[in-house]
Amino acid sequence: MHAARTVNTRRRAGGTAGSGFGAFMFRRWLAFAALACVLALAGCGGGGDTGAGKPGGTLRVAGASEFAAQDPHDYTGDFILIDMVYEPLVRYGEDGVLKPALATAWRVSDDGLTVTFDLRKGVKFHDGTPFDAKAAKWNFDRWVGKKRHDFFATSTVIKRVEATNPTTLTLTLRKPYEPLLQELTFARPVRFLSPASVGADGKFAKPVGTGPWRLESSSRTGAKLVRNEDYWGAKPGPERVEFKVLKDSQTRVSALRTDEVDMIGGSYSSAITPTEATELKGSDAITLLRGKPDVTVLVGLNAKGIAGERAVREAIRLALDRATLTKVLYSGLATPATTLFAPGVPNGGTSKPAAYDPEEARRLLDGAGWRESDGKRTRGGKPLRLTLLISSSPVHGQQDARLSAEALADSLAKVGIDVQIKPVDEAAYFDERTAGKYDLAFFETYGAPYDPSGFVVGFLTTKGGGLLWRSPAIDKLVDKALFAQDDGERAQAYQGVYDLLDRDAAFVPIAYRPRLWAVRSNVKGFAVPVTEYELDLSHVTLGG
Amino acid sequence: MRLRRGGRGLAIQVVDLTLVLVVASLLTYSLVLLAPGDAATGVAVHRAGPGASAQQIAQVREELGLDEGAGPGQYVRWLGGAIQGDLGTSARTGRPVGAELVERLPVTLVLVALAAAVALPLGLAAGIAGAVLAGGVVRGGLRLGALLGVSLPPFWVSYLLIIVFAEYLGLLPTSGQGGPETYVMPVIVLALLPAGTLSRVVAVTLREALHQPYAVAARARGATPWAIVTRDALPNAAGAILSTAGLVGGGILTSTLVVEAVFSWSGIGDYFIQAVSFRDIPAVQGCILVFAIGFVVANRLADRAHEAIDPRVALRVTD
Repeated sequence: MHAARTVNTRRRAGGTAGSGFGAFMFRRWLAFAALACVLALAGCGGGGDTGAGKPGGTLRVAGASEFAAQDPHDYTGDFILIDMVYEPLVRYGEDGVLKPALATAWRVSDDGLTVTFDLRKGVKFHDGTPFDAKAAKWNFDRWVGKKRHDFFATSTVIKRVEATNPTTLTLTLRKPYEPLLQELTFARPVRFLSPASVGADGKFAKPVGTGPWRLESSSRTGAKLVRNEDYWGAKPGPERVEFKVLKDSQTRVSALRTDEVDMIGGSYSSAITPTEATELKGSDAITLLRGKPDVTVLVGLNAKGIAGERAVREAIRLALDRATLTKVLYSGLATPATTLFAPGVPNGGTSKPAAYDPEEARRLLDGAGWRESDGKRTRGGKPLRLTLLISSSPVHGQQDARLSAEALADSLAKVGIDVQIKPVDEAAYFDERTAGKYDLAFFETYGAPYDPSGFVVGFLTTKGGGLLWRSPAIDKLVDKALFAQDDGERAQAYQGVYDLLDRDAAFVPIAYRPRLWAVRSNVKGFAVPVTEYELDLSHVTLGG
Repeated sequence: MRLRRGGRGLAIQVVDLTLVLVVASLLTYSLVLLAPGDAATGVAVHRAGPGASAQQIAQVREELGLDEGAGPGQYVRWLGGAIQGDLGTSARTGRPVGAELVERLPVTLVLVALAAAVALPLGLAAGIAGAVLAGGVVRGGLRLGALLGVSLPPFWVSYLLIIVFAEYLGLLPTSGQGGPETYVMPVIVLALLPAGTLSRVVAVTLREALHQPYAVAARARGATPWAIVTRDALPNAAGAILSTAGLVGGGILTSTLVVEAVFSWSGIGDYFIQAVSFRDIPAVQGCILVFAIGFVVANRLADRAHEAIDPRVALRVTD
């Protein structure tokens, strides 16, 4: 009986997923078949190249999307290129500890309304223009308070920017805003462009920053960077970096194998899926690296509709076996999540680990009047049926949702919750999710350097739209966390938010998304960057 | 007399093409409107980096003027601009769609032209061989090849070629656009389907023609098989063959959607995919215009060729 029920759910879910999933499996199968044919034809040679490293100073990296204009104050630039060319005042270090970059020190006044930066002396832009308070102010003036940047809180909170003296920059705020310094570590739009590089109309013309790399050229098919020999900090080993745009993730893996690129990885630059990562593990010439996870994959439960009912929410939380789900979905490369934020996210707090207890889930549903017969639950003739909205194509840098959806539906079917998978294309997916047209949907936290405030404000407050969950009590606590001047008070306010979310069974954390990079053996000294938006090559050297 | 005929023909064709384009753009516009989602979500998600809140999406929607509502008015405005050569601005890149198409078109056209240059002779040769051969392994092989060419999904063939030629044999780069070696795999994949389709049509129609009385008579007169095929059978079978060639020729253009994605080429196919996933309506419209023009041109070329081969067709047109 039980087995038959599971099979039914599978078929139904597969049917709803339509040809998308079928085609996907077919493609997988065909790929294996093809490989088998090739090996058979070759008399089972399969030797491949041994990947002897090349001397010389060019590091070749895969990029997943075409490169546009790299204006640091606009949003068309590539995160990684922007990070390599332009620098922030402060940098996001391990576990969110801020590190000096173009500012050597900073002070926040007691009332939280004034932030003063001591600027690094002797720094020059790639074109020789000195980086001083005047240049810094010119940069802030390019984006602060502009309508286009309204969605970026720092832009609206800064009231005045002053070049107090050549090496001191002072920001005056409308109200105390603790995430300000963290937001100043972002890739866009806070980094510094040479004021001499723009056209007469003030419009962006050339990518000239202060960073360790100068951008020589960039196009739809790639980008070339040369080392900035006058860089103030630690200079990277390679003389040149070449990005090659490879849009298809399977093609990127092939290009790494055939030694056309030296490294791939990062969720937003040239993502590797867990399945591809497992394939790469066996290769001698390639090393798979895993960074400390910073993003949590969550299942959101829409408060409007059946999933708004407390018993249903709690039952879902109890019925999901996240340990098994994580293992299956991420090929053992991820860890199951118990908290909203991954360990290491500043002010991530603690949450009570949710138990896996399908029996308790059944009891809760029975108690709430959802009667089970023949594996399905109904109450007053209404079936316990939930729509799981997913994107039919993998959202850029994310795990293919179709697999996750099938596994989730199977889990919930075991306690009598019927899950209908609704795959839509990427644009429709974000639109319908934002419009709340779902019972269940996957969400991901923002990760470093955005969290905790980025995701909390964006998805858990009324102001941000409160898509994942909201309540007046949470709004109040978030305000306190953002504008508190005392660190202890702030930590307490964030913990209060997490406690309320736990109590309400607001969502179900599933896994901390793995951060994967794969490098060829000629690349020495590479460590997975602290965030997904940068490529730190300061310790990298190339050699056989 | 001839001049007038030519002038009228041209006028008819311009009207014809314009009608096709207007209908295609209207249909596309309606479909994009019916599909949920607009460019604001894509732009907001892209801007914010990891994701965008409902509030951020709303702000972008306002900034792009998308909240003013889409509808017939928007289409009429677009059409008005398009007639004057202004295809609008891409919501995704903020650049004029016309300029982006012009930049990307050569990339795709070269691919399409090379694929057609491979597919047409290949399909024709395989078809003729299939019709002339009495049977046996070669004919069976040609049939199987044509069947595979038509039925194998292009993305799969692409991966297969990458595995064999790039990963295993190391002869070609996995992807990218550059030197002549980067053209090999995309052109093969693009040519397979039209070549396969064409070879079957040629084989079937030609075999039929070879059994017609005129072919039998030619054989009785002692004409060589080659002469019978080229002088008698082919021109008579030209109608079906050329109209197929016109159709599959246009089809190569749309096949670039898959091929450009897998091999990382940045032409129109790639632009279209990005535009659709962004609900970037002006960009989608621009691509559809290019595809529609491609189909019409391929069909017209086939018609012209048919007229040249078979004078009866030209007469029928003007009657």
